[in-house]
Amino acid sequence: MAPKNPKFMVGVPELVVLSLLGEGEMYGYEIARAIKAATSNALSLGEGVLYPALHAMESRGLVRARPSKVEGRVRVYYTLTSKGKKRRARLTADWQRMSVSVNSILGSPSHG
Amino acid sequence: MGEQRFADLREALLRAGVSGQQVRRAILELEAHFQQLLHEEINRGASEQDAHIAAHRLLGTNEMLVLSYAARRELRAWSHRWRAFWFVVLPLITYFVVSTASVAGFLLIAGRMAPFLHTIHLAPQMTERMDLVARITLLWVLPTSVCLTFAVLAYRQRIALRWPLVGIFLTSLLVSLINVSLKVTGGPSPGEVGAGIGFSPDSLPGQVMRAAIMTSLAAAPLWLAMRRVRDYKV
Repeated sequence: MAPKNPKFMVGVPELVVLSLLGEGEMYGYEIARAIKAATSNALSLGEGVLYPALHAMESRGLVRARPSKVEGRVRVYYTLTSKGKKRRARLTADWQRMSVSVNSILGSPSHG
Repeated sequence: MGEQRFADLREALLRAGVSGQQVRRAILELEAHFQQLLHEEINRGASEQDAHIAAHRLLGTNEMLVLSYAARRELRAWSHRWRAFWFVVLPLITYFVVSTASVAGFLLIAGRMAPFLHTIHLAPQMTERMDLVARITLLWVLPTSVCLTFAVLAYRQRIALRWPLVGIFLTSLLVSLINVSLKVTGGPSPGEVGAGIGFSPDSLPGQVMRAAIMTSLAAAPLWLAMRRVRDYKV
């Protein structure tokens, strides 16, 4: 059975966050900075929107949260779970497949 | 400025149906994030006022944050998903279960004490007092406690007032139709427990009055508490 086409851009923030967390444990502010640095502000949403996405991923078992006290403030660190790793692999494959398809259309002579 | 923003956000998230636990987490992390943005801007040389404005802008508006939380079903409180069940049906079930368990517990204790109860004789005044205590407990204290518990839950989740009010009124109405009697005399037939439900043209005004008083006892604190948090901005 052919895999379903993902809806355009839906799941991209999730893929970005899961990919960043694949590199190691991070907290919200760090993730926001890493997204900013990696995409040169191409994905510029309000940084606060990151938290509902992280909390939803946590409740779906994709990431694990670990609160830690740093300089008198509670900081919540997130790590990828094994379920999160599988989800990241699937989203990455979906994204690459879609990106190849779109690029092949954009690169065809009729669009040149 | 920052503190007020997060107080407003907390209120808006609760009203949007986000669970209390998620709201606490959200505020904790968003406030910490805001503070870091603020330090970052100040370290870049911005004035305190400009740093505040920039930090708020980078964090995103409260409206956007509320929409983002509310759109995720997994972050919503159960009580917001099935309000009619939680605040209309469940109080009735809870009262039924708690009162039945209380009577069953009393009968169990009385059963264990049967040999002793056969040997004593209670004065009629004592029997009347015990009956009064049983009536007050089962027909006033228990239902009011159940209604107040659900009122507190409704307040904490900022549920629209109509749901808990309907639940409180229906529970009060049901309880006002119930009659309980407890007769502990000791001796050869030491006691009996009786309960019934119904109304008659003669008893109806009194029962309606009972329902109204009980509704007021539980609904008034809820209404006052909700008024306190009515004015907020998103």
